[in-house]
Amino acid sequence: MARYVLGRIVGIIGVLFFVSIMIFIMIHFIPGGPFDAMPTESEHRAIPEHIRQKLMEKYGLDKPLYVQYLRYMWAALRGDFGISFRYGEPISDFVGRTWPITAQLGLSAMAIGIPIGILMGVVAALRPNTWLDYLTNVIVITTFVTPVFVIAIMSIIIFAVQLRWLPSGGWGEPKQWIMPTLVYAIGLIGGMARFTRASMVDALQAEYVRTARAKGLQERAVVFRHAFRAASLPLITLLGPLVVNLLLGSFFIEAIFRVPGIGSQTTLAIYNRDYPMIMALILLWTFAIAIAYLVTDLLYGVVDPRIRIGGTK
Amino acid sequence: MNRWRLPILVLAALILVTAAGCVAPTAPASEMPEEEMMEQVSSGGVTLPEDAAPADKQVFRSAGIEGKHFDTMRNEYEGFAFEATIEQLAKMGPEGDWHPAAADSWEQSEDGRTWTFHLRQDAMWSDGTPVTAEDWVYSFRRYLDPEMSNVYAWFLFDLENGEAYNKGEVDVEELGVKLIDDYTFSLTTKVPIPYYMFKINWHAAPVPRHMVEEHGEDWANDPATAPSNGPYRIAEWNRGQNVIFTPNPYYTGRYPATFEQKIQVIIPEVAAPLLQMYQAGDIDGGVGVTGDDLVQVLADPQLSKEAYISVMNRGVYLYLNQRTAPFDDILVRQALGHAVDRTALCDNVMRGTCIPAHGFLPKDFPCERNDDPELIAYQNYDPEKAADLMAQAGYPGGEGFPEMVLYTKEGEFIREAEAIQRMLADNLGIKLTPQNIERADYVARMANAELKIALNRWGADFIDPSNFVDWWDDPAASYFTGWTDEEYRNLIDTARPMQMSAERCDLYHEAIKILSRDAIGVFVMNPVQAVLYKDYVSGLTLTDDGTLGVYNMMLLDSAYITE
Repeated sequence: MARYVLGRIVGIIGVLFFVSIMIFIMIHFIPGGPFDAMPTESEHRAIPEHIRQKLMEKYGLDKPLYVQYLRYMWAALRGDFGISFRYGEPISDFVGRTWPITAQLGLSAMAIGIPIGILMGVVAALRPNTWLDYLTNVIVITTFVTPVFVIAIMSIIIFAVQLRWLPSGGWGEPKQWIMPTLVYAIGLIGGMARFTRASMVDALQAEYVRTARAKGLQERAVVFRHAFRAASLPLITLLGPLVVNLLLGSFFIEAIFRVPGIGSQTTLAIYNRDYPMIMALILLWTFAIAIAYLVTDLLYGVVDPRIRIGGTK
Repeated sequence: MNRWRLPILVLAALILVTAAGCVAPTAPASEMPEEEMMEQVSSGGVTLPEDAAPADKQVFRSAGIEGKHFDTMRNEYEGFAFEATIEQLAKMGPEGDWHPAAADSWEQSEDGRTWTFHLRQDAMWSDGTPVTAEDWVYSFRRYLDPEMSNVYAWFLFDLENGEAYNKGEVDVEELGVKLIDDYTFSLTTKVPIPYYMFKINWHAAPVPRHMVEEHGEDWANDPATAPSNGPYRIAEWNRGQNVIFTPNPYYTGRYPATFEQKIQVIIPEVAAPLLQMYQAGDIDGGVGVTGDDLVQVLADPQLSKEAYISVMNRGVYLYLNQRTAPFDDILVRQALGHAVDRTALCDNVMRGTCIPAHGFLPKDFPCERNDDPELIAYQNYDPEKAADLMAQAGYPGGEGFPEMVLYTKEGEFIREAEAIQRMLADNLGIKLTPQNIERADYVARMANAELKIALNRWGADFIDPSNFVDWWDDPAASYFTGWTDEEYRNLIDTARPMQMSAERCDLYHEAIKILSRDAIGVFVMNPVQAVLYKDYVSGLTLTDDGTLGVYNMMLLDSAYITE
């Protein structure tokens, strides 16, 4: 087990290096650099060549790519991820300031969305073709086909513009948390319910469930100890990356509700050609997803005794 | 069987409770004790009119993207409303006239090249340090200092030796910025520039020398080390959320603070629902809307009352890369110019949110003569003539004309592009595919001459026709098309240093006519904009006809919140 985990961690480090090289090459090859155009409104002006040269020198962008990469990695290994071109703030400060906000938002949405979604899915599976199942289906389909930015804008129009119950966005006081959290959670409820229902329906038809019922087990025990436990395996597969997604935030939710988190920043960083920011955020994503898969794999073994981690003799 | 009923009920109850929790009680109508008819004086020392709301309501909130820092001279277009943090030498009023601000007076030398400014002598930074001519001289020199690598430095290249100093070719002493005494300094330009007041007052802000010298570049990252010389100072910068400005206790100038707070709410660069924020009452004004939002605003009984409508200082045109075929052929370009039905575009497709253009200067811009029939005739809608020109160019009915992508930038004008490609297909038989690409890609590829045709826009940096004509034939400009013309260059070089007059406008109009005649660009439209201010924001400084004015720097100087 320990050996297995160690092996995986070494693998993750390898992946991080590989990804860092790929991203580094990619960001330098997409057309348009950070100093090719003036910022925002004045982009129709070219930056004079001698100033551009100076800026490239200042940020080390005039060096050969491998030198830039080695410098970056050397600094990054010591915890220095550079300074954001766009915000002028050290990346580590930036992440330290924005990530907790995104994490708070993601965790609250999870705390609401996941249990409700699972519960709805289980109930719908146990009572197929009843009003409950239909209700679940309606919610699932609605949230599935409506893009999150539509739901977000609609809720602003209803709750902030028309009813004036909630602020249109921002972050700071608890009433500003309500809308983004709920909009986020609604999407989760739909997704979780759909998935749970499908796995539960499968599990309830399995032979071991029939066996359990034949043994005369109570329905509650059949559903939770046998069916749900088996159904939760695919859920765990889903939850790993989902949790990472939630912890790293959503572009639309954060941009529309003006949440000063990290979720909208990857897209903005690419838009602004903010190289240090792109590198740091994508490495962060890679790391988080790799860890999530590791944890997921370990959890399989805990939930399903048929799966043995690390191989046994 | 009924085992699930309880959990479901609990769940339902929970959802209801959560929903009810969202129903924050609406704030009770303010039941402040009726104030006696006492006159109300703002912290900035202004006696507010009788209908002013109490001091705690004198807060003005606007929205803007996050700036990098408070160094206004390196932060020109990058957020942080600098009119709140700095006082310029002079301010342009709603009618386009200049009013003294940090300078009590100024004069232009005989030869028109030197501007001498006499500063207000009791001016102080918001930390109590006096503002002197040395601060101003230091700031202008720093703006062009090669070590600063200021991306905006080109804006002051027309100072004497401005470019040379910025390139490190001459000493700072050679720069056309001179200290005369503690409260007097002068700026000298290479050639007379009649609109120079606009350029320097839009872009020049003094930096607090004492702070820069003590803290280096970091001075501008922290409100504590970034004092202001204007009516408001920076009180707080809550990154990602807002910047709060409060009255500068040391301000003694002409435009004392009326508000107790000005707040810039920080919005992301894309996707922020500004109009909804405004409607929800989370911002009080300064919201510019165009396109579909504008249609919605005009149709709304309340919003339309709060809207100040104007034609934007922006020209939208078809960029045509003239370095290679097919747009190196004037006949092709002219055909395109006659094939775009601008009236249908603005009235039907864009539902009145733009006005048709046949020349490059926006409506009401200085020297604009868009009604000139000759100008209109160069690019009027005439599908027969267009088809005819196309045939002459060797592409009858569009035969043999290459298929191309019509680029737009970041969704801006994508609908216009769809309509235009339809018109060109119908009238000329050519096939363009509109495609939207992101900003950095667009700018880089256009500068590298990789784009053939794009629906492009130009916005004014300052209010002078030179800003719209100077760059067309300049190979260093991002939107250079490959076209140069001696006659054109002569016209604009002659006009630039002249004092504003009908004669100068004649020259600019000739230049504008060349751009239309030879279809260097196919000029399509000028967007219309509404800027919204809530009806409780009173005392706006407007033009005589109640509009916002072209570059009105005094708009909010006497504004206050009413009950």
